[in-house]
Amino acid sequence: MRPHDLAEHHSGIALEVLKDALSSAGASIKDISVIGYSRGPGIGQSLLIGAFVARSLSLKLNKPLIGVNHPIAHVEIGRIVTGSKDPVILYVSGGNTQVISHNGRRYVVLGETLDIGLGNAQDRLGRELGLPFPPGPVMDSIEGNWIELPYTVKGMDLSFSGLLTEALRKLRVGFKREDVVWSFMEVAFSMTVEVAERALALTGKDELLLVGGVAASPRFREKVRRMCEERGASLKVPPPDLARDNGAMIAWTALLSYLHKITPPEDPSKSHILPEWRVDDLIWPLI
Amino acid sequence: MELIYRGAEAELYRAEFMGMPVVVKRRVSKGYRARELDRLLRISRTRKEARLMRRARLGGVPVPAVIDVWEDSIMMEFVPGMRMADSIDEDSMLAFGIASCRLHNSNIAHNDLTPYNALVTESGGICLLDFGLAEYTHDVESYAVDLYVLKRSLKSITEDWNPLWKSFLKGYSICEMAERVIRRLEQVEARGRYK
Repeated sequence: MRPHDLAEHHSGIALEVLKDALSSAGASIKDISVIGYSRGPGIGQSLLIGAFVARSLSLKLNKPLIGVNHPIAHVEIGRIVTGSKDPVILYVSGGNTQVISHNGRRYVVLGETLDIGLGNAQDRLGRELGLPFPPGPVMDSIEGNWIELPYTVKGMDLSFSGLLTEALRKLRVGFKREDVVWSFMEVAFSMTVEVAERALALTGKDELLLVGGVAASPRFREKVRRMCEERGASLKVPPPDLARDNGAMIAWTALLSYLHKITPPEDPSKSHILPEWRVDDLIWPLI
Repeated sequence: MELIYRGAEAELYRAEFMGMPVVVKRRVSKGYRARELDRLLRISRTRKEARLMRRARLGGVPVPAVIDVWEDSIMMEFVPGMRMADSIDEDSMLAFGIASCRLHNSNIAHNDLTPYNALVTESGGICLLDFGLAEYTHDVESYAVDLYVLKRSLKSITEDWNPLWKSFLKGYSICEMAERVIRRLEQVEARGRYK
């Protein structure tokens, strides 16, 4: 999708989404006390539409406006629904593959992909195979035999581009599709589980919180579960609608931020989005 | 053999070999990955690690001497000392910088260059450990990623990381290519997603 199309899509459905959210919550717009929105990181054009709607509501209803950091929102909704306290967080989605942990002062990234996210690598391979989008669920269930593919872990950082390139090459030179897919998933998932395990060992923490869209993959979850079991760590996974991108996580985190005065409300006429906002760019207490 | 440390991928044992104290590092099998991949990773990483430790030692990098290698295990010299992450200061970071520079001069990227993987020895020197993810490479990018990983781990250890980092760079700058690596580090930092 081009950024322009994204913006068009977002502005087209914004009002409808708002109405749906209110009616399924059985609330009226007058019940709202804080306006939260995703301030970043992300694609500028989509963030802008959300910010624009949030600013308008804030001005119209005269309610405080709170910009939320997207990855922190994943972590906070995950913590509240699973009862997890101070976990190592494995955040795996289309564009993101990060291992996060709280250092007493803020959330920090301990390791992440140095190129593309796991989900994006998976989507690229899926497109090559002509699978419908998103290809993850189909690729997850494909059984095959092991063929060797590049496995790239550097400390707690990962790289998926070499793996993707070699998998695409193996397809072109005639390796069996199911073997390529199965081994690709095996390597991509194992790399990710390995860095999570290294983070647990490094921090000495004994809880792992799995968030992001890829948390829905049964094969991935099973690998993470095995690793945690072997280490004696407990695994926490929110239900799928709260693990992938969702509005509730933004609302909940805005509320947390407002109630605990973590970030001051923004002036709607001066607020701006932060497309490159990192989790470690802001001080954030562990509540 | 007495288990002294259980890491994410390996176990370390204290043992004796011909009257000498030694450490045996054994990579453990992981149930979460396919058997073929598991065996491949354990054996290839063990062989590679031993090879690169020997190479580093020849290049003047302080590392434990490798005594023997078999399947998933390496037997190496026991080096007494404290983990650097627990006794980090500007002096040890200077020595760490010099060692890292010699390592890169030997065309080795460590790939997990942090104060958790170094010892401060009884004589006040340092010793680099855990070559489990190290690579033989001529690529400046890999050396820059070493520095990137180190800088970030310093930040996660202390808010007051800047003097430690400066001290490291001072040591590191004794090698010819230091300037090139540091320039590349700026690119690596600028490039990452959402940075």
